[in-house]
Amino acid sequence: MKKHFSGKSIAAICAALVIVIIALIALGTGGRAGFVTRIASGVTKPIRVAAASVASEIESLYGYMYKYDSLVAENQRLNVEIAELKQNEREYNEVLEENERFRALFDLKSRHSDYVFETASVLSWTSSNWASSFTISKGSSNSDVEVGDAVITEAGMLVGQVTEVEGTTSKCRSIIDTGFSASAFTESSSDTVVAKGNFARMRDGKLAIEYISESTHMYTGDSVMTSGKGEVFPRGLLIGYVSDMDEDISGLGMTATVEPAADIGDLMNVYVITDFKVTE
Amino acid sequence: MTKLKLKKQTVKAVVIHAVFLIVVYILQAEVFSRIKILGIVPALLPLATIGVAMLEGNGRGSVFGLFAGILCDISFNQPAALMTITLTLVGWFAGRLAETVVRRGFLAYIVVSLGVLLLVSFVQMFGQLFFEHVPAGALIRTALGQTLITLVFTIPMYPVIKSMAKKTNAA
Repeated sequence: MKKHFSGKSIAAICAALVIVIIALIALGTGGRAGFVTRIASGVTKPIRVAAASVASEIESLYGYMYKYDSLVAENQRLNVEIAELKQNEREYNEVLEENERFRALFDLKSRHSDYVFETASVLSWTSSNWASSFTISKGSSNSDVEVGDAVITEAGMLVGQVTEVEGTTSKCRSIIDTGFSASAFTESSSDTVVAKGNFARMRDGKLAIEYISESTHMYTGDSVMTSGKGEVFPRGLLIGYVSDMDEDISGLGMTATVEPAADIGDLMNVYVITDFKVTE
Repeated sequence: MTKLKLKKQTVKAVVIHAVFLIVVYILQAEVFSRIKILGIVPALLPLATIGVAMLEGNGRGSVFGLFAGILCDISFNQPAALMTITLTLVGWFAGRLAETVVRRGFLAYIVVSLGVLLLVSFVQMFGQLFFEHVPAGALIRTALGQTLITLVFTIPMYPVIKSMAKKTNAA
């Protein structure tokens, strides 16, 4: 027996038993970490955390060093994409506005098939404090525009009259200019009145109807439209709305202040009526 | 001074004045016609003409006034005559005034500007006052408004014209 179990053999057997016991204890935990695992885990946790932190730093440094160029390139590409998207959005909005204008113009054309239009854009406004006029992009060489033609918005609101025709541009006085006058009528009365520019009201962006007789029915809020008399303007173009009524200084009647229907100061595109069927 | 140097200086003066004139025109015709100050567009071209005339003499003043007047008529949407003649004469008289009666300086610039701007307003309102029978009260209010608001611009205008005059060796 002594021959078979020497001191070394006994020590080896003991060591194997210890390992087997430890292994059995470690494995016999029913799916949960055993105490050996917990101890080992507890002991190594700070080391692992520190190692992970260092690894993360190294990784980010590596990323910074080796991905910097690609990130810059990506950033530039994204900036270009953003710019393109913004440009698309602007174009979309412009097209939307243009579409709305054409819809209104189509509606006007369907109501007044006799109107012949010239589309023009407003190039500049006068810088004079004594007049209200603007220059449009149509003249004698690129359109049939003539002196005296009515200038309207796409919705059929009267905004001015052509006063001077040049090669590729024309000058127009706006309806608030002191030189403007148009035969008109209001919705409350069939009487003809004269809507004209008034210097005192011009700075407020308004015009006036002077010498309104007592027999003429006119009320605040009434819409003022061209009568078509005199064959200068077609009948039914909306000029504006009566915003105020005062007794005339001369005492000969009343004076009505008319607020233009169109936003005169914000005109960008206008339409010149070069021909129409006269109906008084 | 050699002929070549003189020629170079003249070209330099013309270029500087042309650039200045265009900038003032853009400000009056394009910027302030859209962004009005209390409903008024300042008359910057007459103001520039007075400055050039007072600091550089009646010769340059009247030439500058001629071109400023043409641009002024264009920006007012009126036939090229009224302001062209007015500003040419303003350039000549303001220059003579600075050479003979008043001392060149900021105060003199303001005083002469006040007088000229009132004159320009009168020229502008003349037709409406005498031919269109527009009430004088409304016209005078506009004239005073235009004059006073334009006078404010003497403050930035004077140093610019003074530095321009120095650069063109006319001061």
